[in-house]
Amino acid sequence: MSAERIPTEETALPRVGVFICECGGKISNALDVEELRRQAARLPGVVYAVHEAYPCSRDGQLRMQHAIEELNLERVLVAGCAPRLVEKLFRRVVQVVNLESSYLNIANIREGAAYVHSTDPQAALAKALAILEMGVARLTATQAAQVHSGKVSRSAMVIGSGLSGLTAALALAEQKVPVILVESAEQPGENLPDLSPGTRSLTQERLQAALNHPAIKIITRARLTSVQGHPGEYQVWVQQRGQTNIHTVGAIIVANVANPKPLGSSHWFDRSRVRTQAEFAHDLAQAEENATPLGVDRVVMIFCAEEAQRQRCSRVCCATGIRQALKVKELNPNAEITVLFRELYLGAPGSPHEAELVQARKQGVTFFRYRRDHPPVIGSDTVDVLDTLTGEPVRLPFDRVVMTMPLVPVDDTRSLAALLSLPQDEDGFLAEPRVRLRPGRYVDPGIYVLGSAQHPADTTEALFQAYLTSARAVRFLNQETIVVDTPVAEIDASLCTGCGNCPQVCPTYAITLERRDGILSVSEVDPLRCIGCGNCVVVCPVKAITLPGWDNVEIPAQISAALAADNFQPGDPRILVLACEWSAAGAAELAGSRRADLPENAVLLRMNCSARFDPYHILWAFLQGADGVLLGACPPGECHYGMGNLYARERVEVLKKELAARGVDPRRLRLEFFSVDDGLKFARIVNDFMEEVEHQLADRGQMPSGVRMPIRR
Amino acid sequence: MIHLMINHQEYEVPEGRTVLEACREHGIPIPTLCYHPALEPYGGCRLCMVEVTMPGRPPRLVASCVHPCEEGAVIFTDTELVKRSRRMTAELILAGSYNTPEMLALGEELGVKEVRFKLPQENACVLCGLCVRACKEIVGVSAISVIERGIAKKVSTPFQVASSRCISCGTCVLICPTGAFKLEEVAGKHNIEPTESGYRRGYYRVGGELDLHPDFVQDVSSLLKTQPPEEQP
Repeated sequence: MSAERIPTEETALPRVGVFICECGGKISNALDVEELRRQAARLPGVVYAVHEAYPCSRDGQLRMQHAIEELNLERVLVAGCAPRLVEKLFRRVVQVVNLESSYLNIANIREGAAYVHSTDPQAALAKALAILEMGVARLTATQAAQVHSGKVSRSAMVIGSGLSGLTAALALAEQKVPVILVESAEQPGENLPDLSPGTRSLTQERLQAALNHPAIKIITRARLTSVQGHPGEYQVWVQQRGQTNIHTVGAIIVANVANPKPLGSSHWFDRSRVRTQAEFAHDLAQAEENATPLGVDRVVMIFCAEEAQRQRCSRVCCATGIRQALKVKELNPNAEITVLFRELYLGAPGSPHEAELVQARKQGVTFFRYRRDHPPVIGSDTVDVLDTLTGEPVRLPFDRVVMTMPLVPVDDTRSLAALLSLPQDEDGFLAEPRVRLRPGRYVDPGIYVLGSAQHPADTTEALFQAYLTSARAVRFLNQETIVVDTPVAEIDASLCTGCGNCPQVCPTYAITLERRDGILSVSEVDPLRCIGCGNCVVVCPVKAITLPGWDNVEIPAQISAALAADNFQPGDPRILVLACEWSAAGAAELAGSRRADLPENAVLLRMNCSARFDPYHILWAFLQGADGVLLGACPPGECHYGMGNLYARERVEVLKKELAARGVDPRRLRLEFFSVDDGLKFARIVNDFMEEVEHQLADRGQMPSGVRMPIRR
Repeated sequence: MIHLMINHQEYEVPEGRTVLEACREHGIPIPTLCYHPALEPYGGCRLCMVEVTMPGRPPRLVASCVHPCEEGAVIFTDTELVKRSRRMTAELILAGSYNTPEMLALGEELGVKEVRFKLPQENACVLCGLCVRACKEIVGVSAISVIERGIAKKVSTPFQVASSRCISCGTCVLICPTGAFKLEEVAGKHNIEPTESGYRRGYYRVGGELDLHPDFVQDVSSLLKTQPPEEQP
């Protein structure tokens, strides 16, 4: 927090205009809007207060714009219905008269006050006034978010020249996007696993097309050594034969191939008689080339030979195995082939692999299904397996066992994951961070992962993904600039101690620790990556980070306004609900619109994310006289900012222990998870919490008084 | 400015307003179901019917939310014709949603005494389209749409599977006038627990023991001191 942002006594409060909506009677029937207007006009900073039937109508909008211009209003508070419905509308209204949209606030007095207390006008009025006070307090304290922008370089880098990489590169090049194709092998396409003839010829075809395309530049024997910059403008250091070149690209597409895992050495069987599928393919190719006999009569193929494969299908090995069985039959028609499988994956219905399966059955290949809990056991010259159909153990003599090994990402994947800040899953594939909310999206908008870098993919999947990804990338690259007008964290370098807390907690890896002359390093925020969750603000030990709109200025101001003594009957418990706007705030609005019964002395404060539930703010609330603080977050796994809810849970645990150690009943703090449509659950929990605070916590363990918040207001 | 008569009284409205907007502006009540000020008018529920007479032409019923104000129009919002039209519409809507309290209240307001037709399957969704339009116009993701036609028409996601476009904002649930909308049907129940390994690499480091805890204890101690700390400079 820099010094010039502290409002001093001399600075006059900004001029606030309050527009109270009657909502055509829905609000004005439940409470006295004229009295609310009179009370609102007395609030500090308010220079204009009005109530009307529909401020959202087109005439109402014109009147609002007129009032803003006429009275030179600097902040606008609209007291009406749910912000998620009308905020966008009113933002457009105030932007026309050049008012920053962050200087507009929607106070929800319809669902928040009029609907929940529709039978008690006094309670509705008091609640509406409390909500208004919070809104005004927020507006007088807040500072507008700065608009950040960055330019987009219309070029792309594709890493890996497998089928998916080549397809994506060609699709981008067709859209006149210059593409740099980076390949680690000597020749593009060298590292590919055993492919079906159709896929192989398709890959060769695409490779030729890529080599001949003027917009595609192929760099072989190259690897990435460093990546800097932001979405739309990455500087990529590519090392090629000891020489490093820097390329500037707008988007990076990771299309590494996956290869079968080697067998390793931790086995007990005779290695000359047990081969992996890849090794067997090599044997077969040699036998065919030299026209020598294969020398095996009894072949047992074990599909899904590794435990890992039973968790995650490798997509290609069943088809490859059947093809190999046919090849053995071709070389040695008398060979007895037994295939042990768990599930056969042969691609989409009607794929050519199904015909191969039929052909293999006709030629006498035996198929045995085994159960996951009874995997085949390889002995010295027999394989033991339990037949699923008869339940009988079967002993199969063999000359050669062929094990299919799971596909695993190539070694480069780990370094790429580190360079591009991509998360890896248990098997080392690059995981989609938020499958549920943003499938196909990675942390940065300019980084894409496709094909077998993400999950073993068969030909069809690889092609689909390649086209989808290139379409997404083109859409991203076609914008000239990226504009971020949402709140973005800012770090005051003069306060930063370089402790390294914030880079660890940032869900989008927007914060980096930079070198600084002297002894301390300094954190820097990339505004184009920041999504404004506020997690870094909470963990900063010196409070050097600010987040406009959700700062340590306006949130305590709102808490103080919400818990002001004259909003409550003396002796009544006071409850503050900090609600994530994606879950609990939505649930509260829904509870209102369903006319649920909510206690009148619970006040709701809408927050951006549960990651911003600052222990300081919770303590501040207790110091301001809150008897209970209820926190509402998204259920685990559904946080719109990654893992804010899990951080919140962790912080609440710690804070509860601290409170208990100091004689404050930890039950006064409660964290609950809500989904956005949990309106009735919200009402039930708030009532339950109110009941608990009021009756079970008779001795609530008063907080010491006269304590100041260690942050400047 | 346009001059027109509403219920025997003369009004002056700016150009480009609909009849519904003019009536709301002057406090003339008109029931609506599918209208929302933040959305483009839709003309779907037909509850906002009014009687419009242009000079030299016979009177006709129009949906006021989509009908523009015209110079010299004579409008009635509460004639018997209008009331009968609204009553009939409300009754037909109630035929599918005869157990929904919001709709029953609306029917009562419009004078529906008895619902003569009842569909075998009660459905609180009255197909006003608010959720679909809010998803498109307010949220900007278009995760839901109306599918099928005729009696099978309903709100759903593409292919009726959990939508990947949906961001779980809940605007559809909130805007639904009858409480028919169930988010689970759109967004699906599934969600992800973060996996064990490197995926949640930031989590352990901050969550507790290592960083947050020691610093935090210190900070809380200073905050809980009974003596007020020095005034900030």
